[in-house]
Amino acid sequence: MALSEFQLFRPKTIQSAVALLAQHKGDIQVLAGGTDLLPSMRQKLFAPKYVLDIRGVEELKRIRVLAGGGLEIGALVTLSQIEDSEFIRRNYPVLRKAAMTIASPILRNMGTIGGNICLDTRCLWYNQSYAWRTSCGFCIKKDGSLCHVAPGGSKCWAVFSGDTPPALLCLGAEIEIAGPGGTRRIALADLYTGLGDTRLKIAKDEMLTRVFIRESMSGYRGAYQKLRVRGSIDYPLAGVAVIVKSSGRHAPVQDAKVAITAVNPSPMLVVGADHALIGRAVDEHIATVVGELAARTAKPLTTSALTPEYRREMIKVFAKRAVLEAAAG
Amino acid sequence: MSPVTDKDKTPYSWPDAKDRSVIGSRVSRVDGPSKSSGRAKYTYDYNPEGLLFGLMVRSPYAHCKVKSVDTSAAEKMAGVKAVKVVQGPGSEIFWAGDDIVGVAAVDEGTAEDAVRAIKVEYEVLPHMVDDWSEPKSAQEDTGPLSMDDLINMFQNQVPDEDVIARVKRDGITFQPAQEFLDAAGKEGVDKSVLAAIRTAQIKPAVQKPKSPFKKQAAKTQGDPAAAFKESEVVSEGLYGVPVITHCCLEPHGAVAAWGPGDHIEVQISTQNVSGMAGQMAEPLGIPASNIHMQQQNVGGGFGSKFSPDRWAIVAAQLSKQAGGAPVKMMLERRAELEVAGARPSAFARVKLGAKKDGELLVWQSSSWGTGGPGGGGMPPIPYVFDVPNQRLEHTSVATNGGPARAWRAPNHPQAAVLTLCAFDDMAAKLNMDPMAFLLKNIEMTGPRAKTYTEEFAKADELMGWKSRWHARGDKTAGPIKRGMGLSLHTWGGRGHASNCDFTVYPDGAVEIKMGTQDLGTGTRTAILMVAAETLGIPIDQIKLLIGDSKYPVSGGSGGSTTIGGVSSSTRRGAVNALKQVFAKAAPALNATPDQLSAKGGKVFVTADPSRSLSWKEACARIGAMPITSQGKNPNKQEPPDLTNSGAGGVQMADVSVDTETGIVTVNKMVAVQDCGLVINLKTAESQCYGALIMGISYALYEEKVLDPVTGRMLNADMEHYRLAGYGDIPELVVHMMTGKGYDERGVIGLGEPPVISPGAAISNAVANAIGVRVPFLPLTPDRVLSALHKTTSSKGVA
Repeated sequence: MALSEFQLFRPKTIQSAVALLAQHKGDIQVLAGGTDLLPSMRQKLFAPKYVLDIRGVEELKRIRVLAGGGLEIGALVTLSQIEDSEFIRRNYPVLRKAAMTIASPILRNMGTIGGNICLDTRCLWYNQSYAWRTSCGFCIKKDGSLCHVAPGGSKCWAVFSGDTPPALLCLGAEIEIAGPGGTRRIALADLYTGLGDTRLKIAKDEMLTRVFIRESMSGYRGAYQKLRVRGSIDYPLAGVAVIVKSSGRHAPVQDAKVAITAVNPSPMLVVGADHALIGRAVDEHIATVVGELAARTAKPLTTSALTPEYRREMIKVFAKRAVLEAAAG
Repeated sequence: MSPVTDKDKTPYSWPDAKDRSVIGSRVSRVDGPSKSSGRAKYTYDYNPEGLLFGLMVRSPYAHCKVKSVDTSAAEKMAGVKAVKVVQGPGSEIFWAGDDIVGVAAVDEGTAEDAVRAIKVEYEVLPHMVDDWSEPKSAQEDTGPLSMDDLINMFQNQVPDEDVIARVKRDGITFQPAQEFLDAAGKEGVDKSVLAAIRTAQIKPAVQKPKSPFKKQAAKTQGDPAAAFKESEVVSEGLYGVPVITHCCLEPHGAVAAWGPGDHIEVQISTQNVSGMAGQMAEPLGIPASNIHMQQQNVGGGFGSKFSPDRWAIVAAQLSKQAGGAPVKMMLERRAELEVAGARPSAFARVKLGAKKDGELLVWQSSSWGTGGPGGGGMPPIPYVFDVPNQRLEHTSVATNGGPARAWRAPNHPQAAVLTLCAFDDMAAKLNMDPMAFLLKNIEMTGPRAKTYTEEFAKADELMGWKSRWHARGDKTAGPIKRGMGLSLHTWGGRGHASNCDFTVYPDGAVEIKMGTQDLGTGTRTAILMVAAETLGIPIDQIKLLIGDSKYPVSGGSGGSTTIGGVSSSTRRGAVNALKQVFAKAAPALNATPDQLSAKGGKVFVTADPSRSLSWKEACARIGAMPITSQGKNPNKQEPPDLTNSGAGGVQMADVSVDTETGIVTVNKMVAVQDCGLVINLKTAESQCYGALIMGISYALYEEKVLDPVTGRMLNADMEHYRLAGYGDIPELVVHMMTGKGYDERGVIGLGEPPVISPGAAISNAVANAIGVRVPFLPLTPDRVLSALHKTTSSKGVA
């Protein structure tokens, strides 16, 4: 499958990138690692007139420890850089563990943290060639009005399949968004719409530039558990990130967060998980309770391999395991 | 086949072990460096000047009729050089993705635009893609029975009680004349059946809708009913293997150029260089001698690349339309998975009866499966074991899921799953080690019994089977359960017809030409090893030319026939060349030609090796004109038979199953394999490694998933059509059975046999680990969990 023709821009600064976004609003796609966008362009899921290759913006390629503590991660930092960062390994292990499960080493050399956060939602009925989608009458997410996953419904259930966002949600990460009027900073949790088609609350002339994690989130133990059929390359069919703070393995939990991915159109924090964990020493029972809470948050449908019932069950199992793993340090 | 004994020996015979220095050793493949460095050229890499990009409009529907085709807009597009309607108005299409219109354009993007600009109207017809549901309520199984229905049932040996039940339930459509009943009685139809027909209710015939189900085969051997009565233990189970695709990493396709004088040059990805031109001549309306076929390397075929297929023919036609510009028509990944080949599915309910001591008495099976629109045949069950009492019936299911093609050991992997999994369940019911159960009944494997026994012993040693085996259901604590399973297999593998030309030049240079192909299996290396061994010179002094239809005809690489064919023709060609060299060199050594030998780069007097010439010196006696010779297989004039039939092996798998998630991990696999005389031990072992990896893929991941609503394949990409990655490949242990008892059998093919057993062995290992059978491959986590939960809930009820 060939790429359609487009004009390529290669700005060197955020300002010029944003200016081009504003000028060609709606007709332009941001290209970072390209591991998500390019296959989709071949399938004609996107046919932009302009492609904005931001890889020339050097200032977005850095992981920087901030003076007052905390961390700034440029949107162009590759997943391999996250994996290799000693600082992240020591202070935010959940992020490294999640990044390491993504695709393969070669794809992690290309794929970026910004791309993983903004990953397009996926569905068996969407990630298909143009000819294939034509024959099925398209779908709500692209070119059509029906949903093959939830027939009769008007909501798009395409699933968010990024691995690092649940880890970042646990860490309370904030993101910086640059637009024509300058930059704004929001909680990562506020980026997602919860819908498979609209996906992100980000304007057409804006782009994600940086991720921030507070110093106070360092020192938490973390775990990321990912369901996949194969030992290599697969997108998650369910994923759970957990962070836990306590003075020791059997000490009561002081703080905790649990987030899930690949079972909803957005990554989601599990409401009530912190409440269930804080003040208690983690054991099988509590871990099971957290699993039940996580499964209540999950709404898997037939957007990918394996049955939705199975994937919801697995959220329970993987949440339980992640809680136990995080608590064990 | 009886082994060759010393008295049958001729100069063509394979040398004895003590006289071999190349054959049977480990030689790295000669094309390894060019492949690993990316210099090797595949059909896809062939980009001649002025190349046009070919692409197909493909049917969006699984079953439809073409109503109209409008190519006018595409034809007017800049850059579009040719448009050819392949299946025009009126054509009925039986699977999604079938070829409708071919286009050739200056580049891929333009070709895609042209495809989108072609308007095809279809009349959508009902489709059927379900092959896994048991065809119990087949249309042909309802309504009153016609005389033909009854005759069919008699011929298919439907059990008497079933015929009587049907006749009583549904009645018949005709007045049974006495002649009919008499004739039936004479054919052996039981009196009770005839009585039922005589007294049956007569009903008007009903128009039965066309059924996708067809009773395909039935067989009765011995006395199954009596054997079940005699049985002390009966085991019943459901087993199955879905349709999988070939998923060649290099897709199917060709580059064709229609030259002056209607001569066509074709580069094609094929398993069948010599057999291609003959298949293209008629559809193209030119003599086969005008078609020149070439291929140096192929990125996988597995049985799916024997025909030029419609797309290669269309490529040539488009090239003609475009004034002779070469057209590249290679399938996109999606099409490769949807239309370029599928392995037939097979499902069965199997019932077995045995004595308490493990003696197997009877096999009964009701199987079904699809080979695409044409239905499909019954796999060879019961596999390998000729159970004394058998009753089998098979229903073929016609679906709109695309046509089947031979897939590495056609029908054998399916038969192994249906048989060896049923045997494993019986062994579990008998509370026997399955290896002991198979060995108890090993005489049912016929002449191979001794070989299998030796192979089980070797596999046991390599896996530590006896010391590690536990009864079904790992009782250790925790969610991870471990288990072991085994299987065995058989295959033919006799060498195909093969011809080659040898040229020996006065400077000592040697050239071999053969119209064969190297599928990546090491065929080039094997040919060179045989020639080097025979001529007594190093491999790098021999030039080998293959992959061209102008070279002497050699068979297609299917059925594991290549190694036997090419090694035999090479041996004869080399011996014939050597005879002539000896004749020229003998006077210089003061000897007669039959007193000479060739080894270590020298031609010498066998009885006195000090009297010798170097190979170069010997060839210098040839004179100005080079020597030529031919080698041919089979060749009764140049005995003995150098190839043989009948390879087999035993495999064992060790797996871990996470009973909370259902995820299966293979820890280790052992393959013990025989294939007669091994030419290259290294590439033979590689065949087994590759087969085990392919086996893990189809056991755990592979399935062609068709959507019942749209009839489209849902996973026609490599994200969702999963093949095993590095992370999924465990410790693999391969042992080739060689030496006395094996070598003297001659050369036997190996491509297919080792891929037969992994599915059954892994499925059995999972059953051994978790205590229940997961009926169908692939053993996906949700299926494993659902099999586990079924036992839990049924236990709860009890």
